[in-house]
Amino acid sequence: MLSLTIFFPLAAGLVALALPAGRPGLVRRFALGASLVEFILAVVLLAGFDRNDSALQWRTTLDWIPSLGARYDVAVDGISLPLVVLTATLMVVVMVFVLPKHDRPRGHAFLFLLMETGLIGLFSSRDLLLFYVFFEVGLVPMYFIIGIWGHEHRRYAAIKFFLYTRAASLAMLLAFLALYLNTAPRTFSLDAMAQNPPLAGRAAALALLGLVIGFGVKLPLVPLHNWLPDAHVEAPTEGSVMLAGVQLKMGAYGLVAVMLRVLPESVREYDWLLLVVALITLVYGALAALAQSDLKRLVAYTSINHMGYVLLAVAVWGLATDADSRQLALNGAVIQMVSHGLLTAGLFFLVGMLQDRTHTREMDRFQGLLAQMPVYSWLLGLFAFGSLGLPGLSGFVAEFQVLGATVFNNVAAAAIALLGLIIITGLFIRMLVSVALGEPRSDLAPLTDLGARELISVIPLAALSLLIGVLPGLLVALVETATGPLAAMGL
Amino acid sequence: MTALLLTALLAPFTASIALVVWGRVRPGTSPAAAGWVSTGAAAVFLAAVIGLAGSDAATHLTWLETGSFPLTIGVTVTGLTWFAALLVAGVSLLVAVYSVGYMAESEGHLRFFAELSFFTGSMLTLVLADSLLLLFAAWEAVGVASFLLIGFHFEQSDARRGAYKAFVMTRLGDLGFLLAWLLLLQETGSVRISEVLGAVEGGALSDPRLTLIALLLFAAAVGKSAQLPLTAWLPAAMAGPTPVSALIHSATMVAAGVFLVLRLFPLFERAPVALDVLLWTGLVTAFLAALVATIQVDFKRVLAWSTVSQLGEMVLALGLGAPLAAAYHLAAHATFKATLFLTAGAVDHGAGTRDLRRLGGLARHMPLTASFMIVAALALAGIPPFAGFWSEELILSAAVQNRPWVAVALLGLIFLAGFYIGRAVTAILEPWPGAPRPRAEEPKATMLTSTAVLAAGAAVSGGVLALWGARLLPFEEHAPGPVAWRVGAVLLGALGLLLGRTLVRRYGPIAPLRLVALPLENFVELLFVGAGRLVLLVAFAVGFIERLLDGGARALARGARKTAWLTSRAEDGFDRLALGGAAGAMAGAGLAELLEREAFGAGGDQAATSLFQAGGGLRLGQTGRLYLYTLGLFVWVGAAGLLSLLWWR
Repeated sequence: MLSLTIFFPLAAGLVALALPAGRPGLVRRFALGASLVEFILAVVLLAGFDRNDSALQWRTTLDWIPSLGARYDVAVDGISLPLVVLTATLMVVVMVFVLPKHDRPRGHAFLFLLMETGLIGLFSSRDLLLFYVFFEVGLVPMYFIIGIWGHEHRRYAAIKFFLYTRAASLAMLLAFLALYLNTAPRTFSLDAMAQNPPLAGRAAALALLGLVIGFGVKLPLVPLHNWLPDAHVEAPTEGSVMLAGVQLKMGAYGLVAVMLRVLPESVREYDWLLLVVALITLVYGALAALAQSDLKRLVAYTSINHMGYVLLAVAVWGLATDADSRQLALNGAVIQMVSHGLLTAGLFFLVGMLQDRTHTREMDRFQGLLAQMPVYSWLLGLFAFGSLGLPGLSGFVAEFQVLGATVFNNVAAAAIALLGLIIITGLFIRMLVSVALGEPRSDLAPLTDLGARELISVIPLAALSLLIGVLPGLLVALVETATGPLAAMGL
Repeated sequence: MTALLLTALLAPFTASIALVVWGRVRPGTSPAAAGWVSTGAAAVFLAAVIGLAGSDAATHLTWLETGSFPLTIGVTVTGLTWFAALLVAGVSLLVAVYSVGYMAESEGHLRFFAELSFFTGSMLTLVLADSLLLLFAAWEAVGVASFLLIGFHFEQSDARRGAYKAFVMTRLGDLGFLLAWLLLLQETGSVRISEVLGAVEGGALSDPRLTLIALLLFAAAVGKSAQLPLTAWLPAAMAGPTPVSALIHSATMVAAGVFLVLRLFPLFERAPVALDVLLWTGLVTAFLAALVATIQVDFKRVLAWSTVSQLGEMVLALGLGAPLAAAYHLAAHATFKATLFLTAGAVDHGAGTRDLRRLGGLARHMPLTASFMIVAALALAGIPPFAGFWSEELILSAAVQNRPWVAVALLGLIFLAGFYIGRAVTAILEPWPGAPRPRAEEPKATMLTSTAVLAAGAAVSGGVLALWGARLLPFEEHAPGPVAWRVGAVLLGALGLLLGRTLVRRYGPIAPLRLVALPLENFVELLFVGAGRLVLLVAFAVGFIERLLDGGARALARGARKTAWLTSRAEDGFDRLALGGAAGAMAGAGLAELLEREAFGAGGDQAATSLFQAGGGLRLGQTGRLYLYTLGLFVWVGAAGLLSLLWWR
């Protein structure tokens, strides 16, 4: 079942390639249908998941490369399942959003569906070599999406994205190999390594460095973030949505679900370093976002701040000596992954819709949208307030847990993290006030409010964020099946 | 009883949602109808709150259990929460009725009433909450409502600025609250206020944690109650419609800071250092704001600065360890200040301006409004038997007994309050030399009625509280202070009033304290603008660093290219490593090319091309066929993996 979920998009993508080139509408509808089927598959996985069982579920293991000890081993737990569902959800709204875009739809559909296979496969892999392969399958399509369907500086952004992620993958692979070579018998199995962490001492520190670089580029953490603004800004709207919505979670997932399991001792040893990097990421990302006047770039930079909470949670996991605050941190981190996926995807959609209408993203060019596009403005407000952590929306649920775990262990660190949060508040409110409020500008043509297709793209994201914000217990109970054991590890 | 409690809470939210839906379905609804929906909801919850008198209804549920932390939300009726809920419900109802008339000609009335009902619901949740988490959520929600309502006339630039300032500045304090309740959760294992206070009283917390938590909570109070240094947003918030100023920015939300300290007073009581901070903050704020109030020419801004000053007095009372006095003053202030705001709205509607220099002689045209205004002004100046007198007296008694020098300062405050309100009211109501004396008429019946009820409240609420309040509230009564002080206070208030009045009758609404007060006003403004500028400056520096980051890698890139070249040469001879060498060279050359390109400012296309040229195996990909690109990349990945394997053996 899980394997079907992983490979169904790939199969659908190949079929999409075989569809007649002259009928873009058909290709789009087919891709939407495929992503809907995939979404249903993901929901079936969710429905069949036993929340009282902390073991891996929906597991399939097969021999893959026996000589290397690599297996095809896929399963989901409480951390990966929410991300699988998130991926499938975002893919559906992306496919709805691109329905009328007729620029080479077959390749577009294929690449997105291929990416979906990579992402869902990544979140399901229990074998590091398989993880690595899916990591690549998830990343490479994005390179082409930016390079082919992006905005004016797309080639530059694509190549930058490519080089950064390539270097990161290499670092990650080296770390994986280092781990692999120290297992006996040789295995890439994540769970076997978690049972019996293979490395210690200096070698483990080097492997940690490899993983922090590998996942840190994707997260991204400062100073490995420089690819992000270009890639997000130059990518087409649907590309930015997937990039921010799910691809950044590859790094976040790796930090939480892989790094903590295979290198627990080194994380604890270097927790202070991780803490410093996390705090720098939080504050620096917020400050850099504040300096932007391009709306898309602004949203892109806020991602750096938001994903900084995941690294902060990892650092607190190392810092804490009690399972309670560790679990609080990890719960917060996982919810942040989902929440950021929903909220930032929504913001990118909204900025893209504005750009579709006006062909500009400069904040100063907009004013008084509330009068012309009330629905749009209220949605923008909702996503902005969600992103600045307003109670009732998902961002708050994530952030208060991470901040709580932080303040339990280090009040000063929490205070610095809050510095980032207040800057984020200021910049989102500034954006909202300058774009939505004020006298409508006369130099922009009259703008039409969101249409049905656009509403279908963003309303589900808003609704899910609200659901998590109001009834977080639904998600937290799921997440805790995996974070519970992880929090108790090594105590 | 629980059902009644939930009815009270849900009525305004239901009204808010109903109005939003209504607006979607039938955009052409009349303003009055929308207003009466809000009013109806307010009446329902006022009735429910009155029905709850004396009960101890409470309801709780676990909102989220994360790890071992049970996060409950719940509401409870206690003496203090009932008292505050009654105040909120009463003022909300009157303001809703008033708004029916006030907003009749305004665009977007559905939005206004939906937001107003949302605010009342959130505010009621705030005061009734028995969970720090729920209290925090409501605390943020009223901030949002305040943001939306200040920005109601969104096309006006001062409304935009006011909304922005209000949200950002109050949120700065809110984050202190967030840390505080998280710390309390850690220390006591609960967010239920009753349990937290029980633990605090049982000595579960000790310094320095206790003081830290108290100060963090106070930071939130500073933000909401516009104490220094987070003051500047409240005068700016006057850009909102006047009923909003009456309800949110004088009677209820801005008093939430004081309410928070009252609600958690057992915690503050045990942190004497924090109480001293309260005392000083309150005192300095009250004085500064009273001085600034004396030079304002916009009547609403006089009232705004006066609100800051009065809130400062409440904080000062809390700092003196006199919560009962603070609670009384909160209630008294809510009635008389809301009355003053409502009359300001009537003046604005009637005469078309609130600028003191363009008014004068309105008492003849609007006798009813004028009398309400005078009652409220007397209450503000602490003249018996009106509301302000009773609570000011309590604060004074506490000061005399604890710190006599504070009592002297309080006398000064009472004098200043009399002065600024005497000046403003005289400038509006009485003729003065050169007064424009515009024509005006009394406002609509809905507006007059609600102002009248509030004015009656301003007249008697102090006395009522003095008789029965102590039974309701869980705070100890102070013994009354020496008579001489009390008489002195009344005399000083009266003197201030007379002086203000005489000055205006003779010279018009001049500002004799301008030299002192104007720099103070600018200073308060600078606290926000300056801090904002500073952050922006740092942000732009970061933005600059961001741009430099690419260029900064230039040297690195050159080195990388050289190394790559050398490596590829050196490794040419080694068959075994040839594949890896090519791969390394390809990556290095690509990187170098890219950064080189960037450094010299040309477009990126060449870099992309050169990368693929460098890797001969990938040249196929140049044809533009996606699938071959992908395939090529996998080949490369495989090669890199193989190479690493060889290396590690």
